[in-house]
Amino acid sequence: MWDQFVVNPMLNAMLLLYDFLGNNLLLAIAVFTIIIRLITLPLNIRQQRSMMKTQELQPQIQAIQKKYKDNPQKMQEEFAKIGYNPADTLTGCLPLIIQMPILFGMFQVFRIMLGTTPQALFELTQRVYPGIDLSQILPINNQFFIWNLGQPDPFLILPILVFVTMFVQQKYLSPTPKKAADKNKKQDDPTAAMTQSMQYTMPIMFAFFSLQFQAGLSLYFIFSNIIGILQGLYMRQIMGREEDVKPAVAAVEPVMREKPEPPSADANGQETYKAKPPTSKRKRRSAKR
Amino acid sequence: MYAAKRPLLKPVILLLILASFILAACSGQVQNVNWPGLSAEGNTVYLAHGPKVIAYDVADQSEVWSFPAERSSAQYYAAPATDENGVVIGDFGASGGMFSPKVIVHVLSLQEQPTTPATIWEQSEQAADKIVASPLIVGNRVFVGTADSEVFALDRETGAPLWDAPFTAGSAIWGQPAFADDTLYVASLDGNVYALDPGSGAVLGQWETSGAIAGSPIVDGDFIYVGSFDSKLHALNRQEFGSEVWFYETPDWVWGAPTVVEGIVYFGDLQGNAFAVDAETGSLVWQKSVTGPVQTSPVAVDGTIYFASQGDVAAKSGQLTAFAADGGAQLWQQSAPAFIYTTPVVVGDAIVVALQGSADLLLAGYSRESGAQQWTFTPAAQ
Repeated sequence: MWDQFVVNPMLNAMLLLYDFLGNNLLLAIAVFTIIIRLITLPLNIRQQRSMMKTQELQPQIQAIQKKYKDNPQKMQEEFAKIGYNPADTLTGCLPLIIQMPILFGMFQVFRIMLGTTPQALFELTQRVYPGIDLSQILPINNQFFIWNLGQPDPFLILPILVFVTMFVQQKYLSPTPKKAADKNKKQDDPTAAMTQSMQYTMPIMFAFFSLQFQAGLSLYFIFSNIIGILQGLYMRQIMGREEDVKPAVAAVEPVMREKPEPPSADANGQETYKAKPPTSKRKRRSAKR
Repeated sequence: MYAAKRPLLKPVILLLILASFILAACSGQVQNVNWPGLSAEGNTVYLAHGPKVIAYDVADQSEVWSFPAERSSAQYYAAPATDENGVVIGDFGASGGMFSPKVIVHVLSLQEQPTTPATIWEQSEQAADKIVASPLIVGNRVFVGTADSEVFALDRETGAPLWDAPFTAGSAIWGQPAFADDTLYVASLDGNVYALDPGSGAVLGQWETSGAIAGSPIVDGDFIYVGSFDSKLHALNRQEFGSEVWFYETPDWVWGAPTVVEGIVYFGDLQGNAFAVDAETGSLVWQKSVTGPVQTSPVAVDGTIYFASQGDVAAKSGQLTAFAADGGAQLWQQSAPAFIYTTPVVVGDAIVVALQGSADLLLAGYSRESGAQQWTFTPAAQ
């Protein structure tokens, strides 16, 4: 099942690209990475939006958490009123979870494609789709510059590049703290703490992988990270423009950003929080309703 | 309290740690990455099967020795080469440690002793990638082909390099070189067969085919026979570089080296066909079918040709088939308890196969006469 739906399609896609791109493995890895990133782009953008939205709502979330720490049901109700769903944060992890099978698949693809053993090649013959003439592709040229892409990088250059690019990517894909004071709040802000933790653990972990596995996989990580950095830069521009529009709306309908407003009673005597002013997207949804 | 405030932190970190372990478990350092290498000398078979090289006495049905004594990260898959001085083996290389990923590949000369052989010399300066091909011992020289496309020569007694620089082909060398009339013949995945000066490694000439060559070149008379991934068996003119006398086209790749006996060339292809063709003309003598791809070389003994094939994938069993050399009549067919990807060896009245994919069985012996399974070998727990 795993082989049929994950490894074999990826392997055959890589072989096709390698063939089409003049038996250039580096180009094949680069184009393959772009395709994978394009497929996961909507999820990645959603994750980034979700993280930014959660950060925006943090003051309200914390106020509710503090007030209703002994009443989880009420806490959930209040979260719903401000438009915060804790499950959304889990959805934010989805791209990471989806990346995992791709990562495992890529590892196997490189092991089979660049394995440089008879067994790996034989396995390749059993997995290749009809229509791909493997005899015209072989032997796969696994040399790139100073590297044998079928072996770990002995010069440690690629693991370092993996670390640096992933660190920068994590920086750009994470929400920017708006004020210095926010730093003090990180202790109580689970999203910020998680983001900060990921910012270091992920690059270290992937650099460690790169020390152990084929250099081809390191190149995949590096390409993927560079695309992630570009995506992060683009998203920041988009979010920046949206932020520029918000102050005007906020002036009309202030929300508790710096200091949580005390809850007020509604007609039924229940406490309510003022919801965050709707974004343009929310406005469209409200209008539809 | 910490977990309550950061509900997602722990699951995510756990997920990442789990992923690290799964990936580490997939690493080549802990899994067999190739099928075993098998050779024989007298009553002893030598098996390179990953972390160990084992010498097994077929007559006594006992393990003579295993190497190395202590478990290491090095893996051995090239068939050990033997002579009266001992055994020469090459490994797939091992990295220097967690933060030293440079792979160091060794060629070792072992002197046989009870329990564990003594290392006479160890050469780790010449090869930069896996040694898949069995080293070739010729007198006081050892010729080694590597997966990083190189061939080098070592002194049999000391392990010192004999050439100023290794010969470099266009791609990996997986087949054992051949030696005839003071010329070394090397086949490469780049599709070429090279003739080298054994004294210096200089190229004397070459022949080109249109597909990768994974097996050894077989020299017989004025011909060099090689199977190729262009789905052909090529008969090259040994007396004239670049000249091909004939080729025989097959339905699928010819992976293993052919076997030449009494003017007939025997070989198999990946579609499970067994062929016998005339060595002079390339005309078909007979053709039979076996179960599963054949990437091994046929074994010819006393008028019988034995073909080992991968076997039945669903049943996870290998297959050994015996044909009469004269006419190609099938004499017997036997299923093995696991896949067979390694060329069998003959020891006395038994044909010995190395098994791949079995949790514990490594070797099995079959009667050459009837095909009945005579014994199996399971190594002691390590």
